[in-house]
Amino acid sequence: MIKSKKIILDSEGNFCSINISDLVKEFVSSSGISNGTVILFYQHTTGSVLLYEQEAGVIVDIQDALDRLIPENIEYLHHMRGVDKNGASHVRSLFLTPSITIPIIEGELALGKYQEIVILDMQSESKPRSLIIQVTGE
Amino acid sequence: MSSIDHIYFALNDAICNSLSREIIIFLNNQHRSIDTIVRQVLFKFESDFIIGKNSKQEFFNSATSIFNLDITSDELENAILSQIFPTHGINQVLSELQTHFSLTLFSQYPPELLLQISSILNLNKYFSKNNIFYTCEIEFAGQPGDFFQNLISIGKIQPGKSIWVDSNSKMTSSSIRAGIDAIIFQNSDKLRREIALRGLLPRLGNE
Repeated sequence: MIKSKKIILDSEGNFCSINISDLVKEFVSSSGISNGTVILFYQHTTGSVLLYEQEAGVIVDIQDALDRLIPENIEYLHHMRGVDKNGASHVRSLFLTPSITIPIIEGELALGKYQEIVILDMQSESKPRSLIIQVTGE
Repeated sequence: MSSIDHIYFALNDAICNSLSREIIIFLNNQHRSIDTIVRQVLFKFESDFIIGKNSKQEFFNSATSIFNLDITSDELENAILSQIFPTHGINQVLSELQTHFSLTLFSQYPPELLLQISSILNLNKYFSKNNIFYTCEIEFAGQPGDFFQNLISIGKIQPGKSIWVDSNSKMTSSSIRAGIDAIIFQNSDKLRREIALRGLLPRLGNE
C-alpha cells in the first residue's frame, strides 16, 4: 500500500527551522501502515529536510558551519541572471539533502531519541514551502 | 552555581497554546508546522473566538461546512488538536520555574489583545504586570538582531543571566548571536528538559 500527501508550510526563510515531526507521525499513524518506510521529499532547491535535534545552539552551529564552507558574501554566477541573490542557498542545499527515508516499525517512526524531522529553509525570503510525504508498506 | 536568574518568554502562538487547552483554537493559526487547510480554518475563526462570538461546537460545525470538508466536525476537531496541541503541562513547568527564576513575558500581541488573552490564560499567575513587555512598544529596526541589541541596550535583558524562550528558531538564533542563551519552545516537556540540561532544575528520570 502507498499513501502520499503534499504539505504546504509557511516559512520565514533565512535559515528558518521548522520541526515537522508531529505532522509526519500523524500522517503515518493515519495511513494505517504498520511496517514499511516513509519518504519525505522537499520540493525546493534552497533548503533541505533533515534529521537533527532542534535545539537553538545546533541551528546556529549548522548555519555557522555552512557559512564557513559556503560563504554568502562572495560572488555567485547565479546572481548574474538578476532574478535573485540566493546563490549561496542553492550551493548549500547540495551539501544537505532534499529527501530522507525513515523506517516504520509496528506503526511507529523508528527515530532515535534525539532525532527530529526538521525543514531547514535557506531561501532569502518568506514563501510557502512544499513537502511530499509518502508512506509505503503494509 | 549558575548565574542565570531571569527567563524571558516571547508570547507567541506555540506558548499560548500550551498555557491552556481552552485557547488552542484561536491562537495557533501562525503555527508553522500545520498544513494549509488547518491554517485557513483557524485563521477564519480566530477573531470570533477571541471575542467569544462562537462556541467551540459552532466553530467546528461552521468550519466543516464553509470549507466543504469531507469530514465530521468531530474528525476536524481531532485533526486540529493532534496537529497543533502536541503536549500539555506548561502550567506545571511555569509554576516550577517561577519558584526559582524571575519570569518575564514579551508579547507580540498589542496590549488590548494581550488583555483578552491574559484573562483566558491567567497569565498574571506567572508574569507580574511589571514583567510584561510589548514588542510593538520597543523601538527596533525590524531585524531580529537589532531587536535583541535594543533590549540589551535599554536594560531589559542581561546577557549571561537570561534565557530567551521562543518557538521561532530565527529569534532564538538571533538571541544566541546577541549573547543571550535561548531555547526553542516546542512543548513543555522539551522546555523543562532544556532547562534541566543547563543544570537550572533537577533532572527527571526521562531527561
